[in-house]
Amino acid sequence: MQTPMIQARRVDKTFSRRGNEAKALADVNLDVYPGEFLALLGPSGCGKSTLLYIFGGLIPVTSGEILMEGRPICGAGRDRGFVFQESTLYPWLSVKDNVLFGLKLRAAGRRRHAELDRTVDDLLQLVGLTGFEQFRPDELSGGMKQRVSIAACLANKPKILLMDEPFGALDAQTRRVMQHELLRIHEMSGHTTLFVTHDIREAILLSDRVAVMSARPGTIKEIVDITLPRPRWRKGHENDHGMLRLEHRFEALLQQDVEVASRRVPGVQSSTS
Amino acid sequence: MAHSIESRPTPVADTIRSFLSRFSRVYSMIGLLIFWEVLAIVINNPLFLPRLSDVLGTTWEHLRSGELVGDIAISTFRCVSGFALAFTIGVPLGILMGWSARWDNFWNLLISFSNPIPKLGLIPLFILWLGIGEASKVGVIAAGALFPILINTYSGVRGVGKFWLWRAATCGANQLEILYKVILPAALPNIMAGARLGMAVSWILVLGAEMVAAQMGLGFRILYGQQTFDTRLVFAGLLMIAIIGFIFDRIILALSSVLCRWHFRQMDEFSAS
Repeated sequence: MQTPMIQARRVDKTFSRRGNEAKALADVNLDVYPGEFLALLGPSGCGKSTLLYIFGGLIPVTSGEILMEGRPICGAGRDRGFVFQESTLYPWLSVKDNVLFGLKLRAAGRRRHAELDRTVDDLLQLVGLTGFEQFRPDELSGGMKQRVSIAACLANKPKILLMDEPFGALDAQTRRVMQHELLRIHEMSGHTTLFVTHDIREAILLSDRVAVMSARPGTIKEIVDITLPRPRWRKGHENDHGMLRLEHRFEALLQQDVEVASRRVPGVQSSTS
Repeated sequence: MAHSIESRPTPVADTIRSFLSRFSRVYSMIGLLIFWEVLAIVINNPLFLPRLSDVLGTTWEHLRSGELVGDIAISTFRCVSGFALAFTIGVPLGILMGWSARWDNFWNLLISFSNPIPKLGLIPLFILWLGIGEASKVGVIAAGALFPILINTYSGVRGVGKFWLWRAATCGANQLEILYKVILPAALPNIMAGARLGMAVSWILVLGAEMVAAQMGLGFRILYGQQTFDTRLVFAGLLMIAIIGFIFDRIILALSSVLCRWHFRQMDEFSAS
């Protein structure tokens, strides 16, 4: 067996607000292997984003630990690239400078401008935005912004991509296009990816494995292998018989938890949505 | 800009219209000045309301004699010194308070208490402490301009989105890099808005301080005009303050539109739609 790229070991997370405590995650164990695309699927409010933030080192665990290539993580780091649901591009920087944000932090003065220019060219070509270097984020559409976010994330050469419903804020049409774009990018570059979504079809289409989470407290309920053949980016598999069968299976798995998750727990904001 | 479809304007009418619309902002000003002149003629009491043309004549006389030039210079010097002092304290302190809970806890209540104190009321105290020289005037101005600058900077830093900070962290930025690559540019529009308010407060206070204790300056000149029943001189002083205050406001506005182009572009797009 391969050694995992990143692991969650017995992770618990409890939020407390004014004396009320709510257990967001309980005893979560998850291994993500090099090169695989793993989706975290669950109803909204089940703690899947919280778990992703914990993997990213953005919020601390209550107990348990995250191991990156066998070693405990300490805070956020550029080995774990993050793409958020909403655009987090800096509006005061051009597309180019947004993509280079991470690189310029450590390579200022050492890298040649020509080299940085080539990096930007390559990445923008990969995400299909050649020629947009000098545009500002507010001049781009939602889908284009997320393309830039992905390019900016890849620029740091992370070992794993953590994506928090990156297409959640897009319209249905753009979302489909972006899913295929992400498939293409993943199948061309082979980045290890941990992808949070509440969209069953999205999870099946993109992933090698889907980890289904149950709600409150969030735990990994089941991990399902998706054996649909790759590459998938040319052919959607939308009407594939295997895809439909998987969809029904996930629907059944999620049904009960959707009901649990939609009941509100007093005193806890859904900062985890 | 609205052209009606029915009546096609001739080129000449078009030119006149575009010429007039270019100056549409000064119509209210011109209207007020004409109203002043007419009202003064009607009232016919120069001690109560001198004619605008007389005020302009007096202004020109005092400018030519160098008296008013000296007043403008000394008032501007006091104003800019006090403002600069407030800016160099207010911006770093505002950033530290917005950034660190410890600094916020230590200063917050103190600032909330001292903010509503009318700073004009501090003039006697500052004279007792610092004498009737420049130090007390500059001190009062600094004390007054400090609060709008500090409070705006603080709220600007507090308003920086969590995800902008998280993205920087996942790009490998350390705390200092996050401070000057994310927090500072993100808070800059607020800092500049604070500077604008601070500058306005500075002009109010310089006048107050000069009326209490000074041998020179626009505030002194206005008070002197009142004491010698020279209403024209009072108006001449007020006119100078209006003009100089306007110029300084425009300088800060121009500076902030250069420094925060991204911010103003977003606003322009919003108001254009």
